Amino acid sequence: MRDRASSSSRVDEMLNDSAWTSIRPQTGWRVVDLREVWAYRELLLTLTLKDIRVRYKQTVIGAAWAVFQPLLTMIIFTIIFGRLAKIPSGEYPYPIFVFAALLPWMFFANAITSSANSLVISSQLVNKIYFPRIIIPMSSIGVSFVDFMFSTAVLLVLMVIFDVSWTFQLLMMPLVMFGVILCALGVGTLLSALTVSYRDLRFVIPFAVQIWMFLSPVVYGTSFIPEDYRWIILINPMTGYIEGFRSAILGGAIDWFALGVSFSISVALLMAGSMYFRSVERKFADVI
Amino acid sequence: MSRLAVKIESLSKRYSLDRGLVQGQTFRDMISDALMQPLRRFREIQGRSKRQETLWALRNVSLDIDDGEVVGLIGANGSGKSTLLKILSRVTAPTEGAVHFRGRVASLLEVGTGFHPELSGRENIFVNGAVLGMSKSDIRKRFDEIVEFSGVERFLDTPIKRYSTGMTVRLAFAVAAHLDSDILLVDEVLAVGDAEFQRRCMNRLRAVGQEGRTIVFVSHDMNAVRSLCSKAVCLEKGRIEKYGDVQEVMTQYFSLRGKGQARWKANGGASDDGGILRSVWVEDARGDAVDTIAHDECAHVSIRFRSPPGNGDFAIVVRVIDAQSNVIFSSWDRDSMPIRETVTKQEYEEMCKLPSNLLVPGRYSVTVQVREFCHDHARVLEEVSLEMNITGKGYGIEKNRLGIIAPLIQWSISSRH
Repeated sequence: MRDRASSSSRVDEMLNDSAWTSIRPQTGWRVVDLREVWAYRELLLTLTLKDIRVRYKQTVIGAAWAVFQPLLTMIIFTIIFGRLAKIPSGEYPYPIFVFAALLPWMFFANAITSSANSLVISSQLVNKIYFPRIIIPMSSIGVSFVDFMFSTAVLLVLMVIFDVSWTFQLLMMPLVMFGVILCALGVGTLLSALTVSYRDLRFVIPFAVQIWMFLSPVVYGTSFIPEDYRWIILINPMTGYIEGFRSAILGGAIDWFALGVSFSISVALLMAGSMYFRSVERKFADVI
Repeated sequence: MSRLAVKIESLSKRYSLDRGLVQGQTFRDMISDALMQPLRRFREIQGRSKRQETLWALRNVSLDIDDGEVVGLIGANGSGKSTLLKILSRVTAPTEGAVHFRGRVASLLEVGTGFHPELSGRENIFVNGAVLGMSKSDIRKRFDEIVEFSGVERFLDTPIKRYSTGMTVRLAFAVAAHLDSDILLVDEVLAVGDAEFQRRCMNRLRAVGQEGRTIVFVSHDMNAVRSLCSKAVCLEKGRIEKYGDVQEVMTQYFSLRGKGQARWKANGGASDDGGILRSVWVEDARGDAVDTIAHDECAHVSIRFRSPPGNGDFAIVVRVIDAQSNVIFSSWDRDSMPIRETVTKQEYEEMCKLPSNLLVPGRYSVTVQVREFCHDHARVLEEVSLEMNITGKGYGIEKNRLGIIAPLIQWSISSRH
């Protein structure tokens, strides 16, 4: 009798030891364990680098694609919306006006599209190995960000060509992009977790992203919208960022209010996205 | 007193089974069904449908594993082995109960997880290592060892899509074999590679075990379990049937699948368990199912199976094992039969005629395996053992006849002057 008591207390003692990890059924909502994500940062980096390396293997022009895509889009948009539809671009040449908006938009669009699919694509990993699952959509966003960096280099060249002077406002760019990343993380984690259960989203998302672009001030400026309806476009978190990015490049006045709204919505999306992600995370392997 | 490494407390895992939809009977039903379909699908996906059936893959499993122990996990298909391993490796969450473990857990549920065909061998070592939980400096430290173990030095900078399957597997196992974890979970990974490589893998695992690390090893290959593990757990329908010394558990396992009965039926013949083997029995020359056969009679091992999904490249193997666990011989169906062309899910019956006048009278187990050819090796998909007794013939060949086999040998005599 005494023996059993002492042995059970020894077990308790052992379990209290910090070297022990416990696996228990999952209940309710949880927030993202940032400490755990940090502990797995090397894996995040490795997976991101792997995707970047793999991306342009066996392509002829390789990473130049990251440059060509926004560049070609810019040319087409300039012809259709700038020349034919004659959408006003203020005092700036339309090409640079639309390119400055395309950069953050394309990053966002690529980031959410690829992260939405990321978990399903990585089902082999999810089924076999444990790690905080959020790393997978995060690494997709990382890959999109590298593409964004390439096209930013092009933007700086275009600014010289179109005679847009570099101002101190360029320093706003990282701040705006920080917001875009938060927003992409929020939407990306939410969509990736939803896509695991509802594969319909794989067909919906590319389509929805296209519509979203036209609801964002990419081919037009916010000033193009009648003042009475402008609040509608403000609900779209990308509005503030795209306009903010454009102003940072072209040197216009920065709409702090719009930026603030976008930022708040992004934070809310990130909270919702990551909480939903966490709450279903441990079921992925059973569903995927 | 040894320390605990893993403590499993009344662990259960429930899966919900998708039963599929019943088709509408009338045209009207069909139309309303079609209209309701998306809604129903939605409910089903959400797991709210009442139609859902559940399956307890694990039920109330409790287990203590000591530090430095090498534990084999055995059981039939669907007995919960893989589920248990998945919970231990945190891939999936338990429904009830808890698992506590000390130190770092690394799992080898599949070799080459995260391998990418476009990346070179070198790059893949780093990616795979990171996926398995090694830090970059760990990998760098052990890089040379890994490369040496894999034997692919010359192709380190070649994309692995140009590797042979064997090379890929060797590289993958090499990375996994150099994990520095306190607890290592291994699932069937040895079922790949050629015999020589398998031997090296086993040696490597044995070395890991001798370093005092805890290993949980799942395999259908009973010889591998026997030679690697000191203890074993036998799972049956999600519960622990027996836990203890490997030899004892093994005996229990074999008696479970067959239980001295003349005929073994999948799931007791009660319902379809989705397995390949449907029933296995030994019959005598008259076609009766028996468990005892005379030394000078032929025993016919009959195997009814449903061909497994996949490329159909599989073989049925019969092994005859004596009471001391020596394999007397093994025979493959393709030894003497043209390679059959099978249709997936179709049922077939094969018969293997064991020669008469061969076995020393005594107790044997007849093991029937389904082996699938993958890469350059045939891995065991399923295994069933039956008991078979050979009785002696009147005066001559009795139980105490010396020798491993007792073939009837022709003697002759002639007079010489």
